[in-house]
Amino acid sequence: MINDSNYEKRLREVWKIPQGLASITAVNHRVIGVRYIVTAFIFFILAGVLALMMVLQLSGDNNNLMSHETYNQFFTMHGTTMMFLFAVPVVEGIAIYLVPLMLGSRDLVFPRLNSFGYFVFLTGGIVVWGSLFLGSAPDAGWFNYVPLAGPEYSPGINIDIYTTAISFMEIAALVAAVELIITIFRVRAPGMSLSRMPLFVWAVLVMSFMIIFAFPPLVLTSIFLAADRMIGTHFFNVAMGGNPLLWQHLFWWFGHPEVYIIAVPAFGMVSTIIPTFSRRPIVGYLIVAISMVMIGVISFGLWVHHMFSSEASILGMSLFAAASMAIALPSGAQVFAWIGTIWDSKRVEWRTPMLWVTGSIVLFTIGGLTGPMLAAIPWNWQVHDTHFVTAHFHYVLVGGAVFPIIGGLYYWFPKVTGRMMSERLGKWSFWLAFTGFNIAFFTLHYTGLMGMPRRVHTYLADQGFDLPMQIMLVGALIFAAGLAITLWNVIASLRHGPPAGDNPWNAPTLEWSTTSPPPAYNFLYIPMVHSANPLWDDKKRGEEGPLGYQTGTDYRETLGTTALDGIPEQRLAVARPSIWPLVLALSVATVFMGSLIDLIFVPIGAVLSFIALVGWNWPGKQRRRGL
Amino acid sequence: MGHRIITWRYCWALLVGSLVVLGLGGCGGVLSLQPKGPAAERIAELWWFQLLLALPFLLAVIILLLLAIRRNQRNDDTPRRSHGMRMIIWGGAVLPALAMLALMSFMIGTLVDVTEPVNRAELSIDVEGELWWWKIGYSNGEETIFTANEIHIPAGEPVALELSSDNVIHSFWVPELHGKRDLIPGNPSRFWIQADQPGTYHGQCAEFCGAQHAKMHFLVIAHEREDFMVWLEQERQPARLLIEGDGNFSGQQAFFDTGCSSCHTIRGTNAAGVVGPDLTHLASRIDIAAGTLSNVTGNLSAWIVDSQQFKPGNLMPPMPLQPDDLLDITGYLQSLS
Ligand code: HEC
Ligand SMILES: [Cu+2]
Repeated sequence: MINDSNYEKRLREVWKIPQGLASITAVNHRVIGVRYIVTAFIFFILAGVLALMMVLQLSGDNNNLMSHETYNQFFTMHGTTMMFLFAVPVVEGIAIYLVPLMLGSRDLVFPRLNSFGYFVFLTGGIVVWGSLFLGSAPDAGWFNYVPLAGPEYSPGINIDIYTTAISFMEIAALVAAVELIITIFRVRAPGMSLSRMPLFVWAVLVMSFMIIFAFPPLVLTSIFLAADRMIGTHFFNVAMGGNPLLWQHLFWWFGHPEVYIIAVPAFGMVSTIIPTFSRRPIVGYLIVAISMVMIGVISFGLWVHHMFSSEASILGMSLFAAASMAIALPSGAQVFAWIGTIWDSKRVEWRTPMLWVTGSIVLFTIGGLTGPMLAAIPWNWQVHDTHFVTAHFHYVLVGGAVFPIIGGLYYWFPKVTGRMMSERLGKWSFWLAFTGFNIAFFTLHYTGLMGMPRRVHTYLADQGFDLPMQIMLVGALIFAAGLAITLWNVIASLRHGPPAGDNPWNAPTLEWSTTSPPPAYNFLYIPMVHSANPLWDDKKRGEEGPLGYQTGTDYRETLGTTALDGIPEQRLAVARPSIWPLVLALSVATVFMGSLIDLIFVPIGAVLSFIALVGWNWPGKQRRRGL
Repeated sequence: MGHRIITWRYCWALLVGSLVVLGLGGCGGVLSLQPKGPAAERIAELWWFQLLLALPFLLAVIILLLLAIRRNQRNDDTPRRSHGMRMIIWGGAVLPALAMLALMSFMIGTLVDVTEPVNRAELSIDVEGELWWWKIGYSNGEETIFTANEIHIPAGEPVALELSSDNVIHSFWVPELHGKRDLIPGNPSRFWIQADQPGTYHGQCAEFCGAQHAKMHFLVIAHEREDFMVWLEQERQPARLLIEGDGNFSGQQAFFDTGCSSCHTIRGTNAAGVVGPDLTHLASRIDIAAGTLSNVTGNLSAWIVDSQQFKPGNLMPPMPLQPDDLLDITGYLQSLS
């Protein structure tokens, strides 16, 4: 047994996060997680500004605020940014930050890969947004249908940016998914069997598997399109026997699960926050976990419902319609598990995080109910590609995902920063956002039914959309004001928030057992777990205090456990800080982004990547031993 | 305790607010729910049916949440029976499963009703999506005549539409008559519409198709059967080739000389371009440029000189004409009825 203070010192030493300029080499999961989250929220704000400007443009018929070129780039960038640069990275960032803490681990298993993923995401995002400021951003929609996006009808560089940046950034999503899965299976705290795993971690597990199955087809089809555009292949060229429907199938094979890739982790947050403030374990833990897995599986059988108006086989479509309706069951089960938990609670504490997730239940229900309607094929034909659909998926994605994410922000902010956010501002922010959101997006159901298609930069005077679009504008401004208050709250609380303490909400999961913010090594002792709500149950049994496993302090090390039952199995070595992930990310960026300028950059980037990989794996002073 | 008051009062405000929004929206034409033909009618029925299925769930969620909030604000510590599991089973499994079954069966019935009548159609019309207008063709077996952005049909019977595109994907949509069908290059498809009464119905491209997607409107004009036959006969007539001394002869000549004929067809003359709409009966059309402008003299000549001003990016270049050429051409085009 090593002397405690000495042990702590040596842990601190070996897990030290590089500061100053050297912080670029940091690989600690909490550093990377925060980077992801902050970057993603910056993109969220940018894309939100685009949305406001679009609504402004639509607030009068034949409005001339912006040209059709600008508008088309705006709505494409709004969708692309929200999906690829905000939603996926933010949930991954939150997962990267929280999963090791919730599992009682010192880090993710592949910290360098993690850092590499972040730099890939960042460069990809900068290139895409740079193109917008240069006026040549993608402009064929985030779904980028061919032939419109093909070489003949979009000869400019706009779509090349889309194809290369998208396939490039998917690398980031994929590496994050891989390392999250392996982390979840290999380094859970001793005693944390799968059936004791926090629901948020279940959600992240489902999300990561979905990413692994959903993203490769997208990368593949982007490469097909890039090949059509750059070297004259004919995957989608009708004249040469190609078929535009191929794009639609491959895109929606990815695109539908994508929605759940974003929503499932958000569900996980709701399932985490509600029990905490209801002061009781969630009702139907197993059902909720299984529901998330089912959603993950079924969501791969729905993609054709995005194509009902292009397909003609009635039987085939009906099968997809049935599958689309079936997904309402696991979603409904979760909603009622949440309501049931509140119902069965003795006393609910209405703190800000709880408000946001409860509001999200209502919004998600509205979006969830228009979902099966859209699966009803004839109705789909009527409202497909109208504002009705825009309303539907904003209720699902903003109501069902962004609201819980903001709830999560209020919930975990104290853990991340050690300070509480203002409750008063939080509540103002919520009520404004909730009201504004409903005014703005409920109205869109209406304009959709009135006959307003999506993606139009203007409309005719006698179509009657002026008034509802002005109502929408008012709602959007209120919504934006609500969110702005949260932004202000974050900034102000960073400095002036009252100290949080380890566990301000009296929450049951492991991340609350360490200090706020946690030390670089997360836990002094790797905790032992006896139930799904360790902090509540340990307290009952009076087992607080330093009970757990020490790890070695010669190099970064965490405890490896078995995949199902969480039985300690090995001492896992974890990588040290390194500059090579950044170098590799830039080298791979040279391959992709360079190809926009000249194909010569492809081999150059490949050679650079090879060098970076060699450097990455070069044995250091400190030999890595996997014991 | 302050919460409760805010919550209830707020809920009422939200309810009233949304009813106001609904009311306002209801004043404008909610085209999808104001069917003017059998297909749209079936679809609207499907909507009301599924709304009826969905509303109880929404109400259940909201009411249960509010009750739950009140319930545990009572703050008594007596042990209570737990209802959560029962909620999951009924609200999350049994009832939604039944609702989905009901919706599925209703939907299949509707699906048959809105697809099958195409087989009974006597008349078949070609609809081609162009950048960014609609090319409409009527064939009598030997020859096909074309018009643009107006589909004339006989009322009271199903009319088949042969949809195709040789450029990008468009989507055909007349909300009052039927749902959408995409026009996908390389994948022609057969669709149908029916209007119960004579009248004019607005349609619009619904699949994003590039620069002027927003200005790709069209009209469906339904006539009584006899009137339709008269219209079709009239439409089949070519324009008269004018000769020296005829009223608009100089306009016709200017039309050839300034290059209009390289893009536009006027049947009966040498103008046989196929880039832009057929102008043989231009004067009989309600709008020009796919609903962008109404077909009156001022608009017509303004369009001819600089169409880019009204529909930037469209495929007709600005035509810098001499003032009297413009006058002549406009006069000539207005004589083509
Ligand atoms: C390069 C080809 C081209 C030339 C040359 C051209 N047009 Fe056009 N024109 C078009 C296209 C394409 C449209 C359809 C524009 C749209 O609606 O998007 C059009 C539309 C029109 C329309 C509206 C038709 C309708 O029913 O909507 C008129 C009228 C017209 N052109 C007149 C002329 C005249 C007169 C000239 C010669 C001075 C001319 N055009 C020269 C391509 C051309
Ligand atoms: Cu179109």
